[in-house]
Amino acid sequence: MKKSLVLVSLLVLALVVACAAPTAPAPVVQTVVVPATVVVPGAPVVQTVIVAGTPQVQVVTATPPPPTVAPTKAPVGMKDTIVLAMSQEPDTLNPFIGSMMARSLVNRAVYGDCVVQDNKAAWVPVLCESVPTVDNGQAKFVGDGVDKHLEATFKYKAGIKWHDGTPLKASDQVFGWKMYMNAKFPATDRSFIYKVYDVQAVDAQTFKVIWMSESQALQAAAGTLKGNVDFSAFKDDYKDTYGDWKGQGPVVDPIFWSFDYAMPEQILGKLKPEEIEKSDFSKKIVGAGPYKLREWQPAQQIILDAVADHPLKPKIKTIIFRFITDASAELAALQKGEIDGATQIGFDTDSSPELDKLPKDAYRVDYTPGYQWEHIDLNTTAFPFDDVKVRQALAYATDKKAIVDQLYYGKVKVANSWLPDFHWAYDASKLTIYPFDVQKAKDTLKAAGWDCTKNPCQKAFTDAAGKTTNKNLEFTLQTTDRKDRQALAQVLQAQWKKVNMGVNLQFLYGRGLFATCTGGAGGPLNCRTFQAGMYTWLSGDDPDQSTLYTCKSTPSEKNGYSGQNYPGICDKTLDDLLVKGANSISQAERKPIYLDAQKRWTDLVPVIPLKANANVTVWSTHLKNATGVPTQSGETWNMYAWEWVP
Amino acid sequence: MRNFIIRRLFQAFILLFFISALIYFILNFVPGGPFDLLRTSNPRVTQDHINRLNALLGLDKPVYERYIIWLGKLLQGDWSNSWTVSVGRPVSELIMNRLPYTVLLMSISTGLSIVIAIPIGVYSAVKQYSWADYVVTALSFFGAAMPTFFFGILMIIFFAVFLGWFPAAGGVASPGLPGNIIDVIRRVITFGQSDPNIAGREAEIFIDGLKHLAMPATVLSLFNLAGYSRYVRSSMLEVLKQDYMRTARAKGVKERVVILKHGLRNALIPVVTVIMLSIPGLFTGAIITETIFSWPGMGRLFFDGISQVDWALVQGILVITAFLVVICNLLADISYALIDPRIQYG
Repeated sequence: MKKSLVLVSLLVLALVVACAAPTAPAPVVQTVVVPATVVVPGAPVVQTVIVAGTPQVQVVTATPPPPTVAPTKAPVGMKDTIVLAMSQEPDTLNPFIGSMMARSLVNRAVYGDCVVQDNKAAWVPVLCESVPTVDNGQAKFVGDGVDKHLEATFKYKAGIKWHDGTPLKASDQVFGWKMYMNAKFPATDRSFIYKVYDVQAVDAQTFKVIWMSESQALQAAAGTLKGNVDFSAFKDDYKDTYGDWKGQGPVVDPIFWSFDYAMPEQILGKLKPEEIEKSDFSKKIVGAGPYKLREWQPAQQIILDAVADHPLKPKIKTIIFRFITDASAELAALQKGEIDGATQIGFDTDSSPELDKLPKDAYRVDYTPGYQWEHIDLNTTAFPFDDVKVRQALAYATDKKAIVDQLYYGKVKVANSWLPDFHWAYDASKLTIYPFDVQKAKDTLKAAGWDCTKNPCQKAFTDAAGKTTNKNLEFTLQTTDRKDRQALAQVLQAQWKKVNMGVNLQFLYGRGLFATCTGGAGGPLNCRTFQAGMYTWLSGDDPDQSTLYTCKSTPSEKNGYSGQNYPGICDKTLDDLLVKGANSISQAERKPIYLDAQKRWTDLVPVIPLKANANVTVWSTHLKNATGVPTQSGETWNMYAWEWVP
Repeated sequence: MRNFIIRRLFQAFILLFFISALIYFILNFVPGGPFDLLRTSNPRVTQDHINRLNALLGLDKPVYERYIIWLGKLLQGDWSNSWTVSVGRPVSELIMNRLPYTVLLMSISTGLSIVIAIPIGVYSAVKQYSWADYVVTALSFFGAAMPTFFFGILMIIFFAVFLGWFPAAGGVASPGLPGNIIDVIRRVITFGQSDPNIAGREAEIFIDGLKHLAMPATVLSLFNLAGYSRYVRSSMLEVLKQDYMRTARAKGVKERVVILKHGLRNALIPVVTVIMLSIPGLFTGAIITETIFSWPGMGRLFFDGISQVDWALVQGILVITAFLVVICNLLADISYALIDPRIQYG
């Protein structure tokens, strides 16, 4: 206590002195040519120069550089080890199991990727020589008619090895694909790889990916497709997706170039698929990236060392991911300078007032808009949102700007679509945007037959028997019990009350909202028993939403309540546009399709987009080339290029 | 006594069986499964994907069938594998990784609180209603009422950021050190056979470990200190009124000896019982304190298990906790009888 009192007193005294001290006049700096003189290396040369018009003599010194001597130790301020904070520990380091962002951040540097998205969301090669596209000839359609299919060729850079010294080979991709397509392998998501018919190693560094033709897709749906993997194990999945694929052409994925399933055959070839999850590989990952795993200390940290002879030439010797579970402790560690940065897994916009107070010469805080978007699903097949005018009125009654400014300190962006505003397929001028307008909301409700002079609004409904009853415009907004969602829901409730809508709020335990629906009972989204539901979706660089907003994606008793079209929007125009967009690989061709799709989607308002979440990252100002990124690649996509500049 | 122990062990076995069933069924009836949130991070994940993942974990079977399989494995020493916290890793491995850190933190904080609580409790009882008694009582209530998360953050701000005495980031060791305090203790116990990578730096690592331990141990000890000091005080007050205390004084025994030898020894009997009952806490850790200080203990593991719907892990921890509570209750009863000859069990 005594020590702190003394410290505080000294601080106050220093402040007083600083304020009271007279400011010295700003010196005038003038460049003067110094005449030649005898110079002793390492000794300062002092010249006295009178600068006209100033009351003081400006002394110019020049110290000639000493003879070059190889440094015996790193310059002052240089760092070999960078410490980054992360609030969550990966569940596994196996890149093909689990789904945590924490795992992806570590594996970007350790496992390595053939191609990856950079901080501008452009696809760039990392372990591969180039990104295969139709334009550069590395991807092309082969065959005719129902046998037409896409082939893409990838080539690894020379000299890349797995961290156990074995060269990274094209055959590792073949092996990985076969492993992933084994039904006993606990893969999280096969929606991408299902579309692949075969993977072939052309030579040691080159592999070719062959996507399905129309005929192969139909055979897969029928369970009769033969190939180098057992397609019949996934017959039900193929039937759901390609059961009515006739006439649709070859199967493609719009980001086909992101195919990457390389697995070290020399290690995993000795294991059965169901053993891999439990094997040491998931904990002591062997990758081909620019950093290798030195040690994973459970619940403490992950330590990575640069691979000295890696073609990507990583500059920083050691990177430590330190798990700091509490945001306050993480902030304290930044204030004390104990860590050099914080990944996106840690802070959110709630912490921005404190983060913005960090010294600007020490840290830079990036609020990078990402692909996560908070939104409200409206059940378009249930009262009261079965009327598009009511949905539009709700959109007009929502003041998104106020929400963004007041609840999120202006650090996130208003969302008007499922795509963020930096996306190549987004154009605000082509959407139907609903500006906050209480009067317009009321007028829209009136046009829909609602009497909003009453509170809540009322409307007379006549049933099939001819009986007329008055119904109130009341609904329940369901969301999770997360603290920020509760605040957001209450703000929305207050806004909607201004147009005389009766809103009840229901906060469900996190997974309760998304619980599966079995026999009609279960989570409100999957069972479609909700009226309005608020949560976050993650869109991606690919604007495809054919699994979300098409008719057949609506969960129902018929399809066992699978599918994620919770609003239940079923519009033929929208359907056709989304399916067409998903089956094209040309960005030039897809852009107008998705602009039309977003226009149609915003006209119909099955969803009210609220805000695009921001990834919050903190970086030491000495750490160059590290920035927040909007994509799922994560900020470690270019860890090999990071550099510590004293 | 022997019959008593056998009877209690039999009851404990039955009790643990019912507790395990209760734990299993309550957890598995919670809505939602471990993979439900996959869809919010990836809309391409369909219900079929989730069904397939559930089937790999055996979650497609009826609950009672899963319980019987789980119980059978448990009795053979197989605690199942983690679902989501550390995918595929044995629950026993996860627990054994965290246990040393929890035991270290909890035993130091508990030891500290006992060592402080006993003298202040005794003093408070002997000087009842004095200013010292009031101060101790007030501090006890303060310690009991102060939320650990708030106090922990205050300590970080003041001692770590403001004074710079301790690390702010928490954890067990500073980054860059080849090991931590547990490795040093293990190396000492094994006479230098284990952890050769820390050879020559044991003292540095040990001191660094103490610095990391200081704040969480202080937070927890303050919380426990409140309770223990009140127990000691009230027990001591009971004992001070006893006739044998008056007899001892009448015999001319020094007051210090009267208090410590005749009074404290008897007053500690119920306190020992209370301490025995807090032994399970040495293994279960402290969720909030471990989270604030990023201490890699059982409390944090338990919290992660719950938040990530890793019922395999949570079940394992709860069963261990239940086992320890039941056994420690029995040990407390036995110790009571051993310490106090007036107590006899049939």
